[in-house]
Amino acid sequence: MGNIVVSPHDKEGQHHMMATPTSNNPNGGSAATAKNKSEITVLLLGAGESGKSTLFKQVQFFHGVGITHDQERIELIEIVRLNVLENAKNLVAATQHLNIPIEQPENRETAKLIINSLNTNDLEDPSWSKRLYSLWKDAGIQKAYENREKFQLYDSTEYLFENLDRICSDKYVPTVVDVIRTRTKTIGITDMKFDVGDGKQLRLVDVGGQRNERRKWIHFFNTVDAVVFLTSLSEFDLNLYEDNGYWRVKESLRVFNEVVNNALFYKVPFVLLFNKRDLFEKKIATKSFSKYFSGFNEAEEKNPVACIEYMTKLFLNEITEHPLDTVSVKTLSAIDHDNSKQVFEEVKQFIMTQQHRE
Amino acid sequence: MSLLSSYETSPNITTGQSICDKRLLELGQLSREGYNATITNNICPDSIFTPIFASGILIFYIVLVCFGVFGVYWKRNSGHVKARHATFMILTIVASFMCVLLTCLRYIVGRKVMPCFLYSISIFITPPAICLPTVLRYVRTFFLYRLNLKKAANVRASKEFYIQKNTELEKEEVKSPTRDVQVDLTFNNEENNKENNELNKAQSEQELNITSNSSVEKSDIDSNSEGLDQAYLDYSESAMFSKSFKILNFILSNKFIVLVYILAFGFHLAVWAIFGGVDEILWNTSGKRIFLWSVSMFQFDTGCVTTTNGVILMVSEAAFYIILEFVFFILLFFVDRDTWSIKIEAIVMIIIQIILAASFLISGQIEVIRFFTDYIVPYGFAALLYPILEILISVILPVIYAIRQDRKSITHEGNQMEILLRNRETFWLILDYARRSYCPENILAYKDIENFKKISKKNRKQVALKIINTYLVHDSPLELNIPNASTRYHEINTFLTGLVDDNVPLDLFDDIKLACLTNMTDIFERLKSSNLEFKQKVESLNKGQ
Repeated sequence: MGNIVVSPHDKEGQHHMMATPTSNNPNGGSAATAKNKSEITVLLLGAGESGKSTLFKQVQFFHGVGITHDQERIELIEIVRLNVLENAKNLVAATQHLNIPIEQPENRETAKLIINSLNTNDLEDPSWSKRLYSLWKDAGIQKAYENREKFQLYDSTEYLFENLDRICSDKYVPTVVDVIRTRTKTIGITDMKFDVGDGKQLRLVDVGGQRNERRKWIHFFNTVDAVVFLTSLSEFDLNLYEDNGYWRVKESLRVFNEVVNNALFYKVPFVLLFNKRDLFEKKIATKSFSKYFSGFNEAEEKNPVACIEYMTKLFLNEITEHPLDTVSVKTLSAIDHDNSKQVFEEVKQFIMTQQHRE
Repeated sequence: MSLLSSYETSPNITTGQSICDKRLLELGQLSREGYNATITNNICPDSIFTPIFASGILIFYIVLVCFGVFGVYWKRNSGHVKARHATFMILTIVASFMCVLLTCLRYIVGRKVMPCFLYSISIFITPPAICLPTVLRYVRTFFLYRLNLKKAANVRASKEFYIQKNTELEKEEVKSPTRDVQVDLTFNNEENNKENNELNKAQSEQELNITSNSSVEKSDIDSNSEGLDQAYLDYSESAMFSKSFKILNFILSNKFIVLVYILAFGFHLAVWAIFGGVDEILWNTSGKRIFLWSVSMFQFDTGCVTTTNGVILMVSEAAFYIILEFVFFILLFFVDRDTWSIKIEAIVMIIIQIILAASFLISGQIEVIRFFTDYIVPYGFAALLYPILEILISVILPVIYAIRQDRKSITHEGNQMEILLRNRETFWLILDYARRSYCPENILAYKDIENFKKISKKNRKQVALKIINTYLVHDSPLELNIPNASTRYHEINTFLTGLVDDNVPLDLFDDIKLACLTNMTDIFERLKSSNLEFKQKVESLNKGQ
């Protein structure tokens, strides 16, 4: 049996895709019967680390699925701690790469352990909370952190380090916020269904965003009823995870162009979400926005509204085929529960009204 | 020698009958010789417990030996075994097995029957058989340390040199031809060097990590570790010709160990022959025997027992070797690291040796033991305790460390994931789920990389090329979601096509494998939350750990 070739293009796959919490619904991927169907399929698309899965988790959470229960979150301890370790590793590696020495000898010792032997089980020991926090506060690490646009680092780094006293304990149960904040690179495609009233079900599809993952999106394109495209506002100073020499904004624009102008989506309501507004506002306070966009007025660069307006124009300029009246643009802070709930509610309303219009 | 002057002067030597404890003659059914128990050549009649205990010990010992040999072979690539050297471990087993076999056989077939010459040889040979492995182990550890010190210094120097050279070469794009020549040169060096090299490389890499943390930075990892290899190769090329390296390498080679063993045993056999001759002469002139009770050391048709002199001879031989051990043990203290707990092992072994030699010597002086309890539970077992403990401590334990370490590294690297992927049933569950989620590439790549490590050297290059063409080529259907896949593709491709021989390093894809496992975290969690059967399997696995 060793050489069964499994291709990601396997059409069969769609019918088996129901392995998510609402998976026992038998009439799974049958969305092709347009008008009065009971299921609305919404795709969450966007480049890597734009926040698709974060929003997906938020939607799960406010529909009472999955991470609402302590028991479900206990399962994720390993993932949270893995995030802590990966953040620590990336920071230590960055100090090497950027030639910034870690200042305190005991922190250098900790760094060595992190690189060589530390594993998630070790983090049960509360002494690691102090050691890792001391490392985090080390001037060298902080300096590397300030230069985080030069390497790959999760957005949750600061949050996780500030919560080490909880995480490094044998009694640790991840909070909902912890789970929302944790980064796990999505691979492949996953979905979830929930009732939206009127006897209708909304099927939300989450996908991986890196280049190789995007080739898989096509499998869902012809069954789609709405597309929610996410892009990160705070990526203006970052390069790609999958290709360290490529500017993320350029990639997002390219992906957006490909998706929004895809013939399959002409009649489909399209939502563009500018995510990570919170991070973005923090970032432009210290970093120059105009440095990255030659067409942007430098005097306005500390004004988030102006910056977002500029970004909006940039993206909307990419739309050449899709009718503009079925495109909606919003900003989002997906780690913020209330904001996510509100924005998603608006998105849902927009999609539903668009559907009714047809 | 004081031995020769201290004759056995027991007043009962001629009568013989009263030398043994009377109770041994009255054991009846519990006596090996039944109701007709007699004393021949001052050998008292054994109780039936002697052969029973001896066979028990022998069986237990054989089991240990089998486990030891199997374990050493199985874990031959583990640091714990490598640091002790598999040849050493096997020779330790062989030497101690000879002692135990001879002694136990004598108790099993009966002291009166076991050919005396075998027994007298075993008296002369037991001490070196017991102590030599330990001495040689210290010698090796010490000289390995010396060699590594030199090598590390060299690597450090040439690494800096290489990095400069490397950047120049990259500019000129003539990198691969130069590399080929060097790789070729080193890999053709003698076999055992390669083994030392590996160990040494690991150690010097560790050292470099401490000073420059070269392998820390992910994006630099490929070029840097290659640089390190290269530097290492550069060094070994020139260093192999230096004299002191040659000597050190000889001391650390298998040839040396085997040579020392042969010389030592030859020497002790010669001593045995000389002492036997002297014994014969004395017997002919004065009618007295030195080491054995009234039987010739060369006798092959009857059994015999040792006199106190025999015991003293063994202990003094042992004392000589223990002193030798001490000398090298002091040298061992200069070895700074004790990564494989060889130092601790050494201390424990010496203490046990001293205690056992002392107790053997003392038991040999106490009449109740020599003429009574020895025939129920032979005090010779005290000497056997050592080979058993030695195998336990210096063969079985390292194998267990190795097993434990390998297990730990599984949980460390891939959490439970690798275990689940190795399990046939869960592997198919994961693969099937991944397929349905459009991401089987990580699992397939993982499997292919694992298989890559198992195939023969000959096909490795071909498979390696296939792996990169399947999983790293941009826009291939199974391209992996890892950073800078195409850069990696070009690096590995250049490396592979530049290889002259089939020496594709087994760890070529280790970082890619790790990336696959990391990628699987997501699919793994999703499967866990959607498939109860899988979740239960994971839980039972966690409990089992």
